[in-house]
Amino acid sequence: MSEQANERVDRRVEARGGFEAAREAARRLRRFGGERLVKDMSAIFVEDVPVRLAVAREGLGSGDHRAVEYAAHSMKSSCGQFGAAEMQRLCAAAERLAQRGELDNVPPVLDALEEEFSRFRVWLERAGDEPPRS
Amino acid sequence: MKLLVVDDDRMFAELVRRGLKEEGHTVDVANNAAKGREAVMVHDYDAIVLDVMLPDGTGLEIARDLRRAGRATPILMLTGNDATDDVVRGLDSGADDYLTKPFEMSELKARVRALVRRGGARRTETITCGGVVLDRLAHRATAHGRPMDLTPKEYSLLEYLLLHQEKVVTRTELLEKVWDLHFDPGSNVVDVHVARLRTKLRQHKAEPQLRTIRGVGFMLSLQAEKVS
Repeated sequence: MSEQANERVDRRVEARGGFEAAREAARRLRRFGGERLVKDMSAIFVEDVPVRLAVAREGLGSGDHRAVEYAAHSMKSSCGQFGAAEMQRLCAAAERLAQRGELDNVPPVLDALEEEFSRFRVWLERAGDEPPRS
Repeated sequence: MKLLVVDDDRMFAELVRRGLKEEGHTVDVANNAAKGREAVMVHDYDAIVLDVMLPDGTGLEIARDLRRAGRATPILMLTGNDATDDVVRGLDSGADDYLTKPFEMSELKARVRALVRRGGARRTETITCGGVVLDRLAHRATAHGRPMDLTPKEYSLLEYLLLHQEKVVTRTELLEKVWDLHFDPGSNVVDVHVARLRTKLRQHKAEPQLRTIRGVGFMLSLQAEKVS
């Protein structure tokens, strides 16, 4: 991707909400393990979130509120470590609803989570290419 | 030291594994409660990093089982940042300390160091043999007060030999405890590291001799080798 295209993506992605916490999380990871660690952890995160989302949806399908709660809880921790604040908030909401057995209210939260993940993923893939501006 | 991480979240498990490995530790990872329980019952770990919420159980149950079995292995519990109940239940079930996710790697490392330091009677901050002193807290070895320039693997090897001084340790034991290899790689990796460590001990005029016990293994000993 060209420099200009990168900047356009940055502006488009960040226009809808900043990723300051994520920037800081990436900085922390970079300090600890360099660019390699950021890329490796990002790759795991990007692979695992869809799997956990699928587990949560399966749990919804079968009425298994514990499976939904567990999947949301796990994602919440990973999102927190990556500074994906909005995803973390949505995961916490899904977890709470599942805990209360209110599974009917979970699907819109998972939809929002999936959308936010797409947005975050774009930012994350860009963040791995170069150190974020401070 | 040999550590166990029990966490089903691949990202956290890998992050913790790398951080602790960087400190020179051997790290096993179990990604569910069943594997974690099996590992703690089979191996003698120096510390365990245990997530509370696992897909097939909880870290609390593992901690409780371990304590019921009379095992004093230090446990660091990982909890969510809004889980005060988990912290209380974790400590009640036998965990020695807790850390909330997300965490800083430097904090995790410091907490594991602190845990191992105060982790029971068989653990000590320093191990000595003649003029050789291993400071496990500072992760530093000295001989007659002079720092020894050791690689992480040489440090781990020396630590293991010091913990078993005046005893024969086998190559298989070293491969498992220091290299985390549960098979013979068919190389002379142990002998090469032992030779390097022996050279460094000699360079520092350290008293303990790192002897090769032919056909068996090695022994770190203050007693002079008998010449037959």
